[in-house]
Amino acid sequence: MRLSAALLGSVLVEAVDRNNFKKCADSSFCQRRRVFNSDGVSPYAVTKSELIENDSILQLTLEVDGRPCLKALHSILPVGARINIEECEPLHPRYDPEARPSPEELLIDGHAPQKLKLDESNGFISIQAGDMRLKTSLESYITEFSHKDEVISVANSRNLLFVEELREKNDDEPSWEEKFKSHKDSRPRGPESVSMDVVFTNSRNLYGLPEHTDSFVLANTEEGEPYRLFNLDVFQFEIDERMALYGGIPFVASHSPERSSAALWLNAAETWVDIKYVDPEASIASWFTSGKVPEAHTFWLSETGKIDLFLFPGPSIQEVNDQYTVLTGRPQLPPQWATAYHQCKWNYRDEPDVAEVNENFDVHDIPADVIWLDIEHTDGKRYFTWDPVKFPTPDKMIENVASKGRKMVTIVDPHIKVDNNYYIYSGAKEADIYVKKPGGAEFNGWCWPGNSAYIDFTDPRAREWWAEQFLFENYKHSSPSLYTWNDMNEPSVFNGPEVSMQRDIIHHNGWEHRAVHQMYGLGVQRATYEGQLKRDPNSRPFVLSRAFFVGTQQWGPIWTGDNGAEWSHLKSSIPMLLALGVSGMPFVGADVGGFFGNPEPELLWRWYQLGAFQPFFRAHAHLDSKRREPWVFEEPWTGRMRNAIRYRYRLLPLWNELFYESHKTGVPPMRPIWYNYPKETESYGVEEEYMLGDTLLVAPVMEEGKRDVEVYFPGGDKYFRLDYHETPAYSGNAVVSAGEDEQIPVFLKAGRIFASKERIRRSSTLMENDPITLNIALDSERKASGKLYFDDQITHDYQKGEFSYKEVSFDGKSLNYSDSAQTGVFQSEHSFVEQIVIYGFGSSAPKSIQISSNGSNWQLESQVKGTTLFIRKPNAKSTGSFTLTIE
Amino acid sequence: MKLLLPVLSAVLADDRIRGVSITRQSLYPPGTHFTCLDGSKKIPYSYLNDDFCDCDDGSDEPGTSACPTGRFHCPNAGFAPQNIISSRVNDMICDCCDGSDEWGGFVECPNTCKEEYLKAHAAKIQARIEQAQGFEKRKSLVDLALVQKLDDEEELAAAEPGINELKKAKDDAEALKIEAEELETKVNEELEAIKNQKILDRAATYSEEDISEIAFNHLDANKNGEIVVYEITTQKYLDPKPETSSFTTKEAKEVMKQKDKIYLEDFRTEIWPEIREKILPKLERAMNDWDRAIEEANKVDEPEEPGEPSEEQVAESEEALDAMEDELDNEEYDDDDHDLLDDEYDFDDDDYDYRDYRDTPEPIKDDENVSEEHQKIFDAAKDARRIFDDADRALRDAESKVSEIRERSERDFGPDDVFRSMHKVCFEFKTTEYIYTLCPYDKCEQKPANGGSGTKLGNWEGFEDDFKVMKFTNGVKCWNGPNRSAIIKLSCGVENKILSVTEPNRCEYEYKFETPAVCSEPEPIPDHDEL
Repeated sequence: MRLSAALLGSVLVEAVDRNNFKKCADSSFCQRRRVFNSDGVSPYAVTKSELIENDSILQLTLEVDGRPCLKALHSILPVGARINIEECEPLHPRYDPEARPSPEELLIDGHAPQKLKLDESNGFISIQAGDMRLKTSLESYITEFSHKDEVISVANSRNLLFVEELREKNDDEPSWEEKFKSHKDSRPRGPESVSMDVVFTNSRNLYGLPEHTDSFVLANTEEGEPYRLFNLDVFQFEIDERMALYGGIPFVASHSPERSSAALWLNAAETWVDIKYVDPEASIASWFTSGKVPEAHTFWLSETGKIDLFLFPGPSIQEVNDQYTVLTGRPQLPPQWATAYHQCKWNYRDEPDVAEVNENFDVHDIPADVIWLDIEHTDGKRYFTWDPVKFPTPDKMIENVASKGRKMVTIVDPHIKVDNNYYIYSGAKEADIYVKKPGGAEFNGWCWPGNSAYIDFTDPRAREWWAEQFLFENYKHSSPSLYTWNDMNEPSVFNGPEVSMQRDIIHHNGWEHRAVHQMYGLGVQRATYEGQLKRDPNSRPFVLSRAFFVGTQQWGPIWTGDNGAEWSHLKSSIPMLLALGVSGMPFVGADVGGFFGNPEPELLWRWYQLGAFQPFFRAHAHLDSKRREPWVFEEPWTGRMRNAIRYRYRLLPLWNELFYESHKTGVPPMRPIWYNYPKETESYGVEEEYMLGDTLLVAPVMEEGKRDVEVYFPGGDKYFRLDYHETPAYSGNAVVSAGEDEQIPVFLKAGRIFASKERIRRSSTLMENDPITLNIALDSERKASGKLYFDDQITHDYQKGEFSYKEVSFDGKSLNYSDSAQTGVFQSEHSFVEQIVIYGFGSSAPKSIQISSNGSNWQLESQVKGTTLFIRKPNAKSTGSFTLTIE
Repeated sequence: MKLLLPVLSAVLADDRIRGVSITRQSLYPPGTHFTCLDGSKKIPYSYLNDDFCDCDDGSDEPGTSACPTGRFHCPNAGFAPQNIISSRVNDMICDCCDGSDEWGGFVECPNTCKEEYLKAHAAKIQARIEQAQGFEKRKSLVDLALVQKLDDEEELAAAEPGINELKKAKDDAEALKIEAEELETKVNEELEAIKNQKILDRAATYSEEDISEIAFNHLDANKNGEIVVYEITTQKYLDPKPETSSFTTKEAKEVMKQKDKIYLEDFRTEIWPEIREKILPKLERAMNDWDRAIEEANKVDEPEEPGEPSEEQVAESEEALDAMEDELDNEEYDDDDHDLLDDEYDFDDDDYDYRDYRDTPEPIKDDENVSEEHQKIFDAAKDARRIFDDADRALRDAESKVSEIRERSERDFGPDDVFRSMHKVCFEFKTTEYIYTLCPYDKCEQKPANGGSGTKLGNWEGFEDDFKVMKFTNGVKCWNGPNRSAIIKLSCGVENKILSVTEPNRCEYEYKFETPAVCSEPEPIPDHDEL
């Protein structure tokens, strides 16, 4: 007993235990097939080609001595090019997350192959549709992807294409079984990996491949480990690592001054990705291109499945994100309250504790929208139930929180306590929707409740069953103010290999876990989302997930998991969230304060400042962490944290607009600087500052004791610090103060307009009727423009046109506030424009300001502070139209 | 100027400025202009309460939510007036009992002032009654403390002279005891010598080969034919450094010539010669076993090897040895690891004195060597010891009583010694999971409600915050966390009663404790109602 306690003691080491997780060398297929640093083998030749499916797909037969015959399908979609490869006659079917009807239906739109123009000459075969072309060498199977005759990327340019042939085991061959630590993988189908290289021409910078804690610019992996994508519950992860984390998106974006483009390797198995940047002199794809250019090489290796490669042409990063999210689904438009502040802790103990936290926000005049309950709220970790002692009257508790316009969130995890008296366990057993052991028996693993069964979220029947559990009549004490958090959905299995599920576990349709692993978490979140729709079809669902994959953006936000209360983790939140954003996953956040440990008040304050400017804004803490709600450290810290949180509420109208834009076009609210300044090469590696939309530049303090920041202002543009009217606009590089009484340095880009709400209420829903302030920053031509978005903030009525999308522009003299072409019909009854603030106006007051709206004109008053003009009370409806003339 | 929205009226129907108390109405005199109350700006009178913030101090918008720093006054007629934060005006939540904060019409706010008044009034009366009762109780606590103090003083005065007599009685008994024991020791030594000689004589009857094997068998506790270090450390007389209290593994290895295992042959050649003299007197039982085995071997048809234990015995004794080894292995997780352990999971090493269990000296048995004379000496020594023990106990009891009283007299029992009656008295609070105890001046504990041993939440540390808070620290260490601690927040009440126990931070407990000890004298009830 004492011995085991001593062993348990080892978990106290404050670092990730790397031995628990595989390196490439621990994974037999990675060790065997990571050939990134080698020369390619003898190339496949194209031995047969034909157009199929009404001339929309080019089917190529690839052959070479000693390797299996392969079948490649080339097509051009509205959003990019697609290359599918598998054996000509596979012994067993290979899993394809997108085979239709598929369990997941991952591709949403833009995937219909287009009619092709075929051209075969000089040893090449090309297909073209619109501006896009795939041109393949017949002699050696290499395919260039071009857009408007410009080569963007080349598949298999280094001949690293390899498909391990599915076969029967030879009797004299050693066992296919593979071991990791004490875990055995029976690997009944033996080696089955697929791999290929993709080279981005004329590129020096790759981004994406979330989720890792390495630099934002993907690193050269020749010397070290490849990037690993395999959703895992990693205890106390560290910074600057390419180890796998909770989620993975096999998506890489390439960016150069001339173009952005991207690749998606749609495979739901464990995947390793190597990266190498090659100088022009050593470039290899140049036989396709005119002249030598820098290249970015990628090598993709998955344990099983098919090769399903999508190449997106861009040419801007905005278009790349648009193309990717047309294909894989647009990000959800969150309910507005979800974009406000969330208060979480493992665990708010009981109902009086929740009531006190709820009350304290009001006592300290700090706004908050959501109070969260972690696993301890349940009856013995039985999700969908309540601890009868600590939470005897959940209805009353939720109602009390909701009476301030707030919501609550409970955790609901996918592992189900094995207990025949637990209705969820027995119900799912009866429905026969648990994952199975190879012999067909129910798989059980160890998680929070002890012995647990795992619902098979790759099974549509299981998702349907799960969704029904969220009906108000099924989930006791749930209410329209109660939403959901799906944790541990990698899935986490405490006693499984790498804290996850054995790979030979069986899912729906007999697929092995290894083939579908990356899709498990997505299925959990999707089924929960669908459950919330079932209970209330017109309310926007809210489901936070920890695991994620291609398509997660449709179902809700994710957070970066169990970070630590350290300055390095604060800093790392930026590259982590930026990588998610450029990979089509915009609603993301890191736990404010750091999950593990106890932040000093200074760190917590700086984290609130930064978190308020990141998309998903939630404070969370471990069970063993001390309480750290914003009032715990008393003054002056409470005031500082209050200011930081209130800043978020003030800018909620901007977040509304950014999330709407994201929902419509896939662009993330939180963007790297190069997103807005594609040609500014010195911004390519910047991860200490970033932009919200194309409007605000955010430059946080992320070091202890620092009271200023060195800020880089890109593009020679002028930037105005919000609320600093005596300070001239910045450009270039400058040191900006960030003292105890100041807000995080945030700058409004010259030429931009955004809306704010200056009346901070107890929660965002209470601000619905409040007036807005227009913030305008004049550029060197005294012009500015921006967009504003309004809707009812919570329902799906916007899909029926109940929204208002405004265009605001200022030409130096006139401000035009009107509907954009894409507007709907929403009218806010009460909200009006209470003030217009024009930065960079100049120190002399205008002679007159006239507003005209609905055929009436009247004069407005104004005053000047520094060089900012404040126009008093236009009082026009914020969903209406007006013009304003300044003379 | 034309407004698109309904004009917000700055003044109420009776010409009062909205959101301003009657006493402050005079700060808003009618006129053409209004000067912000901080004097910073002069604005047209029509800008008052026009839902736009003009004054930095928020004074121009007392009735709206326009100014971030403003306050709104609810008259709450019939109940207590209230000043609320401006941002709570027209936010769709009824904050004022008269509903005046939600004048914008987004929600209907019923006037609840009368109910609130009645509720508050009843609560206030009740509180006052309880405070008065509590204060009366407190007086009795103070009286009780005085009585206890006098009792203590009396008891102390009575006890102190007696102590000298008890001391003398003890000293006398001790002298007699020493004398009697000296005689007893001498007799014992004589008997021991006779007995040892007998054993040695008997040992001499065995061949050197046999006696060395008998010694080997004696050491080989689990009879598996090999001696390992744990079988040596149990034999204290073999300790090469008897002056050090423990016989360590390292020292045993020395005896074993640094071998892990010793078989009979090596034992004979290397170990036996060195330990022969030490071990011979210990071999009586082993010689008995040897003889018995020979005897039994002679009885049965197929003689067994002498001393060979049955399979069952081996299994049993191996189990015992395994258990011992585990214990010792565990001991190798020395201090470094030890810190990691939660004390809850920890053993008390003192419970495990297995090392000595076969080394207890065998009592001298009644045998032919003990004469009547000897027996008398033994009995006399026994009596002398008993008399001494009684005298010693009587002295210690008296001394501890005195020191207890002295300790109590040095304690801080707060103003008027009001907490004296709680000294080491315990209070309990039951939840479905736990029973929490509070013993002022001693400790706090948490016991499982369904039985089982308690966990100490802290030892008495003292008062804080002018006797409004008790503090207990240095309780049992938490797994992966700090030592437990508890603070007790005191409030006035008629009885001593724990109201609640919570754990605001992990392993930091907070009790709410009601006690008359902190009740102050209530203000005299005024003739008219001040609410």
